[in-house]
Amino acid sequence: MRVTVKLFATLVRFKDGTRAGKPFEVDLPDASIVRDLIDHLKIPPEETHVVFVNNIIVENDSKLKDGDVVGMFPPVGGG
Amino acid sequence: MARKILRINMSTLKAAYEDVPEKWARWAGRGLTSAITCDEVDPLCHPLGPNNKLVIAPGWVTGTPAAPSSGRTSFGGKSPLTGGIKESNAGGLSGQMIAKLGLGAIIIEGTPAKGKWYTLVVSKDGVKFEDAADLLGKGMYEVDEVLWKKYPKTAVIGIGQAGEMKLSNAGISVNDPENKPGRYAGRGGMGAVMGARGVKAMVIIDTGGPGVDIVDKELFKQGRRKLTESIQEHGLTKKAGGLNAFGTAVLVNILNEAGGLPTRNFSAGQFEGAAKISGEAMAELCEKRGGEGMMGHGCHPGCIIKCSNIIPDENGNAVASCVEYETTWALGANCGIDELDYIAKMTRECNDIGLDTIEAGNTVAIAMEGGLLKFGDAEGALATFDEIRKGTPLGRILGQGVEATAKAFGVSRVPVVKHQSMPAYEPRAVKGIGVTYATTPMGADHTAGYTIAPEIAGVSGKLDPLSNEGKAELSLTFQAATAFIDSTGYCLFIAFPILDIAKGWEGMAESVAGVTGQNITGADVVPIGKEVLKMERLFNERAGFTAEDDRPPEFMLNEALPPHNVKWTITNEQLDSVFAWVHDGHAA
Ligand code: SF4
Repeated sequence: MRVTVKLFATLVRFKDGTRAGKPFEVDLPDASIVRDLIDHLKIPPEETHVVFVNNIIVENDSKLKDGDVVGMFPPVGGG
Repeated sequence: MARKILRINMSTLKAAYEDVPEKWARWAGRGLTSAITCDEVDPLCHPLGPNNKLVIAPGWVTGTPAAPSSGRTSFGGKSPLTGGIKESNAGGLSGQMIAKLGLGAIIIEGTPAKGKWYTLVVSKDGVKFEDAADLLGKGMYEVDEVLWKKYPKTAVIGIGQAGEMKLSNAGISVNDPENKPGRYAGRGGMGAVMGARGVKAMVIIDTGGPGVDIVDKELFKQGRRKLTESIQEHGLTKKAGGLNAFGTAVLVNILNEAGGLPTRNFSAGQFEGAAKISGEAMAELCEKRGGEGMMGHGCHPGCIIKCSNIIPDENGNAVASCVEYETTWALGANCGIDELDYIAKMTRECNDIGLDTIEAGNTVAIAMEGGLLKFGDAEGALATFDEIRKGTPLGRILGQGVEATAKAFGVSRVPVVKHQSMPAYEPRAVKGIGVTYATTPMGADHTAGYTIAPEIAGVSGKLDPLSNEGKAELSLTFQAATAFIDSTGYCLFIAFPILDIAKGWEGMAESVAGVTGQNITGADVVPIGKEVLKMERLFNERAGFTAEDDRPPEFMLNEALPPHNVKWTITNEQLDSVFAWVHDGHAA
């Protein structure tokens, strides 16, 4: 399957040449879960704090499917 | 030396020190401004009339040595925007200096002779009333500069043209360490309350002040250490963490991803230009342009989080500090504007004229919806600020904020609660924050109970932002904890580490207990916060507020918000449950 990934804030350093929110595509084996994608991108798991799939916050064991759009954030906040 | 109250009478031009009466002795910061407002201000008075007062109070730990990020100043009274009680707090230099003068609060009351304006110079020797005629009509950049020439390295509190005109969107500026305006007690029109007292500016000189008494130094130090460690350990607040590296605008992308970034006057939850106005984009801009531009700026000495920034122009010269999340959203996404340079210029206008950027951005968006200009018209949006500065009839309407402008332009999508416009989180997509907007005594305000922490940021657990479940209780708990933190003098952003790291929560309470000698532990935070909320709710009831004022605007019940296509679905019964306990006969 192929998913679209967007990294934000301090996570952009895990993908050469990307900028915050700039989408790129990743091919994964079928039946992959969010954690597989994090491993594939070589992001230490403790660095991803909030993960969205299609604008919904999900857990790391959520299943992915072809065409999903995944957004990953480190700890962010403010006011 | 025990704290004193400094009472300044603008009718007689006399000031006097008073002992803090027993009934106020427990309070500081927001707790104290609200207690004094409740006791001394008639809830039915006209907010700009002779019976309103401006109450200024530093927090419990403000001015103590090395309590981290604790320089907040609370400004309280009756709000011209909401008609209810208001506490609005700001960083900058004033809090620590007022506290070091040994003052628990400054109360400004009375009205000078017509046409007379003053600068109040507050020092250990009392108050000097200086004629402010030469400052009239001037913006805050110039006021700060002029006053520092005469009184270098002092705290300057002041109002721009908006406050002089007593516009409902006038804020109170506090200077930052570079002596620039921009740390604002922005919300609720408190700048107009200061203007109504005939005060253009205040200079605070802490030289020779007695400092802040600390009753139990060991306990204070222990609490301070625990709190400091929690701030330094948390991913969001540590050095080079999210807030330090990208500022509060690091939130733009995550709210956009969640479909909760109000766009084009709350007509959508996602903005296609979000990334261009985000904290990440600001950091890139500062990096590229260099010069005076910087992220990781502190709004007062002793802040160890440093979420502020200085946005530079193409030549590296400072345009404005600080472009916060709320600001880049209000003047950006909410107006369909994706150009950071224009957002920075408009921020500078707000900081100079003395306007709250949230209400200002929402007002421009309403004017866009009403046809005065088009969504996305950055040049046109910037020009509206000149109308306000000059006090043209159009400018005076815009300076009144969202509701007045919506009436003037026939707009019915009006995102307000208690006459105050909503900040940068869409209640239909993030339900808990909607409960806070609807029920806080302050009018629509995110800081009053920041449920975004668990609903979006994954701080203190994770809750589904789209779900209604448990959101009434959640909002109340956050509102109460916030009322406590707003009384400490700590910046509200310590909430992130202390919600996740238990020793931080304890440490905050212990540092307050150490300074005041009150027996306060972590378990007392929420009950004490509820006492503050109760005072404020009762003031509002006496001012005429009813349950019908605790409601989101009608359009949110009728219009589905993309991309989730959700409406506001929390019931009025759920909203009414938030403060039902106020009439139970006990506070907690
Ligand atoms: S965290 Fe930001 S707003 Fe809070 S005190 Fe520090 S610089 Fe000011």
